[in-house]
Amino acid sequence: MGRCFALGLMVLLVAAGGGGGRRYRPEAPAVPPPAPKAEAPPATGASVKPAEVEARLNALDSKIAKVSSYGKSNEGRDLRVVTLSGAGNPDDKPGVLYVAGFRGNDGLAIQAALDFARSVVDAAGDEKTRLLLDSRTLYIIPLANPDGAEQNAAYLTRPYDWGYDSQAGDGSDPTPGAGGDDDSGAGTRGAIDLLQNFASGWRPELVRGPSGPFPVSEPESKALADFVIAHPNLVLGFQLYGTGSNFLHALSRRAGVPPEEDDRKILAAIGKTFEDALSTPTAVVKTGTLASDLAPDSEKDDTFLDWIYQNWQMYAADVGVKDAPPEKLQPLLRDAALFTPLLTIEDPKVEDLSGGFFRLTLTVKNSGRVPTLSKAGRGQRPPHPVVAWLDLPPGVSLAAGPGRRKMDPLDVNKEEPTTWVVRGPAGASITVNAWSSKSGKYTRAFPLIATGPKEPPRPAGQGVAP
Amino acid sequence: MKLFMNRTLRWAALATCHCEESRPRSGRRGNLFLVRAASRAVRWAALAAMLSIFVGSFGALQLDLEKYYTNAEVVQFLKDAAKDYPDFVKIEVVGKSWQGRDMWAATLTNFKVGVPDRKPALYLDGNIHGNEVQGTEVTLYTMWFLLSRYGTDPFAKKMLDEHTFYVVPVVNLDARAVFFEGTTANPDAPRHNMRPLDDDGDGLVDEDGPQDLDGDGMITRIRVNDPYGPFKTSPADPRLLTFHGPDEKGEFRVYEEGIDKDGDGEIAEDPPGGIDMNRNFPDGWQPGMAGDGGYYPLSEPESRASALFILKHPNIAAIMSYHNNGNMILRAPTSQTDQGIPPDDIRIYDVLGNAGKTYLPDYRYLQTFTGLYPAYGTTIDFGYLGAGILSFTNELFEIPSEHPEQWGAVAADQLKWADKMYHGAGFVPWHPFHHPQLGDVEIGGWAKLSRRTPRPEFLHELSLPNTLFTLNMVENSPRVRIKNVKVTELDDTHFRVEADAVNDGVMPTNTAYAVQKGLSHPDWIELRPGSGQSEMKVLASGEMDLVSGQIAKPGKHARIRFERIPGGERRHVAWIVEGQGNIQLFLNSEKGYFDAATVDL
Repeated sequence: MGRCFALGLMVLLVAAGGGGGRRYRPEAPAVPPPAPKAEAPPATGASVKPAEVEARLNALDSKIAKVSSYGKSNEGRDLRVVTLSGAGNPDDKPGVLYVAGFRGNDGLAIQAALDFARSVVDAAGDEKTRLLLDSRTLYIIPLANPDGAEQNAAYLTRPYDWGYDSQAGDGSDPTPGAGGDDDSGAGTRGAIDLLQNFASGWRPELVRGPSGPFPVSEPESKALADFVIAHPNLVLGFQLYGTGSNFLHALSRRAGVPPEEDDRKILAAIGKTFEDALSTPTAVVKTGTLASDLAPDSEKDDTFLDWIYQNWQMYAADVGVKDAPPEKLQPLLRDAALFTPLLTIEDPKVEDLSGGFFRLTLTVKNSGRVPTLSKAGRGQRPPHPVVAWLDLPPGVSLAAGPGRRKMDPLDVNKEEPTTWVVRGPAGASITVNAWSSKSGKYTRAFPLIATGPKEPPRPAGQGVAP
Repeated sequence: MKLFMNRTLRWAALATCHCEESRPRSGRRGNLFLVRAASRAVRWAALAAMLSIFVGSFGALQLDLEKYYTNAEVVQFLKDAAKDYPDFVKIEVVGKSWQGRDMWAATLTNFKVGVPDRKPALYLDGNIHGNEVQGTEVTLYTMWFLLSRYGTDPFAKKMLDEHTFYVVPVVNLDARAVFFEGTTANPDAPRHNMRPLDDDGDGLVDEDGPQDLDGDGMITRIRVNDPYGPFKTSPADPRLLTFHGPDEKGEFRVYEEGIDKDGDGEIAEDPPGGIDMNRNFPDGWQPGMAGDGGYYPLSEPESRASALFILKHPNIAAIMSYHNNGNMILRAPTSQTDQGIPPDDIRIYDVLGNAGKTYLPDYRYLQTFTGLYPAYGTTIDFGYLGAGILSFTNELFEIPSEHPEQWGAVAADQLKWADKMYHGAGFVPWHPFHHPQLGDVEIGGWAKLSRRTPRPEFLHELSLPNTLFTLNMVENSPRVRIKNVKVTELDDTHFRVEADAVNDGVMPTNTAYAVQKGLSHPDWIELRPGSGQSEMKVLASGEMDLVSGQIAKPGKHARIRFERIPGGERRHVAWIVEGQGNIQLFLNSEKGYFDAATVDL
């Protein structure tokens, strides 16, 4: 045995060139079988370099626009997001995510995202925009794949051997970690499609193409996924793409199932606004799932969209910007952000029960345009209830009712009555809070008004005893 | 290793004691399990005695199986191992936990023999579920077992000379810290990692965990007297509770030990953490269940580090990921039936799994999905379905029951066993407590070290047979060799070179599943010019048809590939070459090592 190892080592040294021998160059690979490789998507529009994106984002920085980094790319470039928000904590309001540039050569979409961000900032003084940003937060990521953009390439740029980790090689050179000398084509097939690297419907490369060694394997996809899960308030997600003009929503063909019918109706309603505004007699914009024939081949496997729909309970769609005039597209993107839930507190009633006891009755209502939780999100763990609770000032205590009332998700215009009894001095102000992860927090204050106890009705004819 | 005679004598004494106590009633079925346990104890005591005599004087490395190790003690053991055995152990940090603890891995092999990262290897881990702690001790024991016996035991020498062991003793470091250094563990928790998670979705994160109200350092149960409650005293043991029937009266309501901190009417519904990391691996991962499998595969730093460590070492031929409990040998796949799994792989799984009949006679060997339950996104599913590696999980430890088929009687049997073997320490007796919200209640129940994790004195009985079972997997690893090299002179300058590329192992060089799914690299054998004035040109090459004696499909390359060589099989190959001098044959397998030979033309 020892002799075998020793001999192996010796041969290894020779093979590695240490003994003056030639470096072995193997022939073409017999396996693995070639992946069903789709051509990389073509470039759209003019190339947009990361530096230009950076400069244009930095120029947005203002009271309502904050530019920040959510991670680094494979090549160390900052991944940038601009957060557009008015009054209140941005992450406590319903959030809408716009992402472009999954394909680094999708110049049309990258430009469209930058132009959209600019248009919102420029309109910050308008009443409509102000109201939108006071009640919603827009997160815009114009370039998810800056390394690709630098080379005007669709896919990520790191050398990658489909099917195998390029670090491993196939052992042509038995030196551990030698890599490189890899007869299955390291670095020549090498690229990963960011759009195919997310978790839902992910398949290994040999089955589906350049999807990466495992789901969310890349710094770009991991950073984006982590950005999403750091924002439970995200309700809507739009990926802008420049290779087509249709409104394509989850789910893609890889999911293998259609979206929930209730969710599909909501997505179709949003898509209808795009259809109506962007269609021309010669070019009709259509709405459908990614799995439908409306999607360009390169968009059919949008695992990001599937992931945010299936795992983050977001209404998710790809918006084709190919033929969309900016002056029409920008208001559409802005108004799409109105499709969020909105909790309100209705019909409040404070009754003086005497002795410092007050009964507070109200309903928590979803006055928004979508449910507080998508149908796809129902039954998932953790749950996404609507929660209502009171903030009581010193001297006021809860006498009856839950400290935190958890309710099932509320569909549009649905309401849930709630009652508490509190004890405290008249005139004290109590605050009612209603919250859900997707709708943010809504608060309303009520004073405890003393009306005095109501006397029971007296039987007719009964007087006061002398 | 503090495996000294006094310890062994204690074992023997313990076993004898139980034998005597149970002998008068041994004819009754009721005590059979005690007798079995005692006879096992005698067996292991004898073995332990032999071992302690055998190894007492070898190696400086100490492993104390009288206790469970904290994270710091695990790291110290690894550092000690690397210091005491510098030619055999290298340690490294391969990741960080959610709370920033270093995740250590040890590479064990004889670094002076062969190419360490090419030797057929085992990936060994433990404690990915935070409460399933004893897997860690078994991994440490495996290290100690091999290192301390290298100089005296040919088997240990063979293991370390010919194989590499990649050991991650603790995957879920943060939860292990809670289990051993905190006060909020119970037999079943914390299972998840410590990523803050809003388990009840109320917008507050980890706000309502259990609380050690009685100050005994662990979480048990609260029971409240309530004639309308769902529970009654178990007829099998007054300490246990069971649901009352529709025609019976209730006695108790039961809560986890704690208080309702967020006023939602629930206790301990949002404990610290996290994600079930053994549902967080890519293969078979289920979307939409973040509370179980995370928001995306390998979203957690610990599981990601574990997976990347496995992928970094393509020489890993087998995986053992220790869990508790149930005395089971579980194999992949865990997220699907065997439909679509190549029969060749199942046959090998069965050979390895059924070896449990020898090493672990009390363990059941099961296909996880069909034999136990579906588990999506597990380490071993990633190992097999994702990386093509034969992968097992042993579920360590189970308190025996004489009524395994009677669900209600198992707990009573186990409690009886615990009373005897733990001397009462397995169950916290119900004791009164004034709860700030529930009023006068009682607190009690199974102790932290009881049903799933035995008290440390049982680590010996646990560690050795599981180690031997796992080492048997390693012993059956693929191992390629060049044999029967033959050179036939065709004329002055032309030769026919024949050889067998054999796999002397039991496992295949690549699983059939890996080949089917393109997860593996092919094995290959090639001819290279030798030293000096050697020259060589290949005119034809390929696998031989054994019947006709001809190359079946002549190719023209020096390198001949095979998708795999099953265990105990060969690939008979030949080249027709033009050349002179000597030539080398080099056989390479990702998981089966490599071999070389030189012949003269």
